[in-house]
Amino acid sequence: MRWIRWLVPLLVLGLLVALAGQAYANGGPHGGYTATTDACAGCHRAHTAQGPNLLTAASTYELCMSCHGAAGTGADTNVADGVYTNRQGGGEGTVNDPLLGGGFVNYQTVAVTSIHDSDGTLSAAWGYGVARGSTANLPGALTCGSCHDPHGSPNYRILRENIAGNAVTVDQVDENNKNYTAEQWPDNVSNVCVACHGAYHVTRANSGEDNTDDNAGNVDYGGDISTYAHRIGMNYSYDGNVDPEATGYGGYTLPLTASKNVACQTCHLPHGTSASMTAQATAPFTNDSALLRLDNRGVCEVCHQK
Amino acid sequence: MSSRWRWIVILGLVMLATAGVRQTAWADNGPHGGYTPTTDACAVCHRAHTASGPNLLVAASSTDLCLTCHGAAGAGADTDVINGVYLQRDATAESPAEGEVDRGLKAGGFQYARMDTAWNGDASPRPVTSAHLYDGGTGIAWGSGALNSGPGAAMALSCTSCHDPHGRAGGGNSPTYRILRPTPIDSGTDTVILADEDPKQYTIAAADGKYFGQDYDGTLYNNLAHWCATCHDRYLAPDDAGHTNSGDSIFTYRHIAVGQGCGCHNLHGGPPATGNPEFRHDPLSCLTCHVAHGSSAHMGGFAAQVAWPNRATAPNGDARSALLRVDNRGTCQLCHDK
Repeated sequence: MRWIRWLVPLLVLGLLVALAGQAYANGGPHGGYTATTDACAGCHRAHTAQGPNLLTAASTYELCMSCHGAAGTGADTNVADGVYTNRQGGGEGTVNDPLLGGGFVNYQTVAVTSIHDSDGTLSAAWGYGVARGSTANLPGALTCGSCHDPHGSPNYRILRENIAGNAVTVDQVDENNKNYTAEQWPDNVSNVCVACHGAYHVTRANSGEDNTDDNAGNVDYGGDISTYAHRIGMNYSYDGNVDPEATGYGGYTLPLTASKNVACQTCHLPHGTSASMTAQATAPFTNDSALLRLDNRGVCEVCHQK
Repeated sequence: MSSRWRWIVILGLVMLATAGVRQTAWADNGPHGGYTPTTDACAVCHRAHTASGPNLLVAASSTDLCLTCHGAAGAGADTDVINGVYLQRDATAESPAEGEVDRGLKAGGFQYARMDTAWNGDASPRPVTSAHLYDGGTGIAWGSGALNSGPGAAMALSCTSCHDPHGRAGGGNSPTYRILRPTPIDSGTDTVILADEDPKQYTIAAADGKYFGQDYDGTLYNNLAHWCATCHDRYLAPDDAGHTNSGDSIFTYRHIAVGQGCGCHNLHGGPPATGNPEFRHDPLSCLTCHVAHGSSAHMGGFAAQVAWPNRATAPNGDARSALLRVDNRGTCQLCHDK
């Protein structure tokens, strides 16, 4: 039984090592704090704060942009222009390549046509407890901090564990070797979208033709069977489609998750896109590019190749 | 009542009365207050005809005089405020003891401190990185004055700016905590009387030198924050000040500096789930995070580059330690546990 005596300390040691790894998962001032951390001073002032929550900037958006904006110097990820830089040394992506999330002002050097508002001006979301095509107010105005937890998180890209009152789990896939420009989406990455756009979370097989009432809340249809909707969460090969990530169509590709499944992010960029909408693609909302990755309905054609 | 019992009762009453008188007389300690018409105490610090300093002091300055007893080489007091340590070196054996020998003073020190600011079990003496001026030098009392009156006013500070060497400063001849003046010199007109501590305890409670988490009497703790604000007016923030614009262009949003913080919890729907349970229900005061005399805390990274309230960026590094009890922003993390 001597081995049991060693097993317990070893397990404890293993747990400590695992926790230590988690503590460093988020990088920069975002998480992994020790008892004598200096990180608080990166964003907060106890007595001379310029914004609520004792922030050094007037708002959450301004504070985030002081590092991650076009003129920021505190991070390589320039989310305003949607591009990876080396202003902090680089090393976690290919310099000058577009960021995986898109951009808030420009994307691929073109002005964005649609974005997730992050400056506190928008407080409603499509399908947030209501049917697809309708909006409902979120608990608060949307800012960077609505989706990302600046104090770190066990989720991918410090995504909050609770967004708009809903628990969110998105697996970390590259925490120990981050790459902000190479597509590598977690299988459950759509969960972050579902928190606010629950009605769009349709996973039912054959959802394009089957919206019958299952008399159990139709959870696999986003709780809304009033219309039909495209499915997510399935393998790309469903219905005989080609691999949009490896094969693509006409030189265009779309990313899949680690298990080669379709996620919200297969078609949509989380931050913003510069995709252009013309003719039929402008309907039903004029010039709304809906964060789509490709012009018009390129995202349909890359998979379905009709 | 028998004659024997009569004497016992009388003796008891006399002892009780004597104890009361003795306690009051010693409230301010040593030569600092409690004077009788025939006191000898004046002669400790003053000479009527052969004084070396102004105010008929026996030393060249008030600070020099204070340090003859309370300095590193002083022998007149157990409190060595230069090294921030309690010693047993004066002629009085206090009962009860007024501190743990060789342990750090609650206020820290002016040149050295025995503080485990790194939170690693090392409380050996280290040079301070920030301290309140005590030698008559002039600095900025950050946040002094009314809203939008700038970063703060210049102010010369010596020991006696804050402490009244004659004691009994509390009005009605009552003693005050650490013989602190109700209105520090040049602080303005605000008056805060701090009731004296009885019995006195000059050293921190933690034997391991950890200065954060010290317990103070609740009323004293609350009043001390108001006392600090007699100079640092705009730092005195209520519990919603972190979310409420004060109207001041510099001290715009402010951390609560006095009270329980219940307002913060109410705003956020209760105490933070991740908050450190060891500290999150403690009342807050300036002294929660800062020591009064000086700290040896180190500042690195973001904490070393924080601009001063007047926007100056120098001096920086350790000089930016702001009398904090823990290195960097340990005082934040130990409560908020992010």
